Amino acid sequence: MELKQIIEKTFLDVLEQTDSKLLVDKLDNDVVLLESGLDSLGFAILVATLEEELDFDPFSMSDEVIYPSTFGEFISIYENMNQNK
Amino acid sequence: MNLTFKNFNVLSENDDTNILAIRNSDYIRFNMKSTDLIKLDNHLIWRKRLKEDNLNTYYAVFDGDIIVGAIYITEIDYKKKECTWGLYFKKKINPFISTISVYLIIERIFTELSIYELKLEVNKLNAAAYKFDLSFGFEMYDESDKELYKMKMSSIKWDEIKKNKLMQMIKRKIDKINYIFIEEK
Repeated sequence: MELKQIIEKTFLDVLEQTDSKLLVDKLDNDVVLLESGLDSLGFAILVATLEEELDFDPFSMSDEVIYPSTFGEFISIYENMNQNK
Repeated sequence: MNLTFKNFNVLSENDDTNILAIRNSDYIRFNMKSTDLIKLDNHLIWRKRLKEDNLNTYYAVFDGDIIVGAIYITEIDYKKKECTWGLYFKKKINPFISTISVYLIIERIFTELSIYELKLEVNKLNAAAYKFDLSFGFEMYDESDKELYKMKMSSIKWDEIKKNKLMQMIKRKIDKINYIFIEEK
């Protein structure tokens, strides 16, 4: 499974685990994260779940403060760190 | 990840300016009881009083060297073993920081302060914060206020909540990071 697919599947799983709902029709790259339906706890769970699956957390690996605004940016951060790890 | 919780009593001049800028941002102000802009002079007067006050403790939260928000314990009643807490964070931060900070402050309140009942107030319009608080085990006990929900959680409930799958995941993450509470210079 491609990284993007793993992230998308995990995102939807975490929505379910946290009793949240996807607030947009489709999880496209331009979906604004804060409007997607996941709250900050949800994002923390998402990043933790992805770390257990992928064995890295890009937010802890980087010295810079990085915060994605959209789902596409979120995926890009993982793709970039996956190449650099 | 390096998180520092620095007691407001030991903030530097620069820290004061930075924390006030966050507190005065529209995103924060409009979810607070007081939506007025706070002047630096007034902030410093309030902070001076805070040094003599052992019923209210405020921490600035640093992600590395950068202040990203504040988390605080207020109205501590050692006889009744209860207190209130609250927080504010910049809009754009690592998604983990607020969650980890909340977990750590709740744990600190129940274990180090020996509090039995922890309370909070959340703006009724802030649905995300309300849901976040529910996820951490808080239950509403008073919705009579026009603008605020009042919520609470006991130490017994927290011990139960910590065992659930999501909180265990957060705890595993906390075990991997560096964090420190700075109380004195």
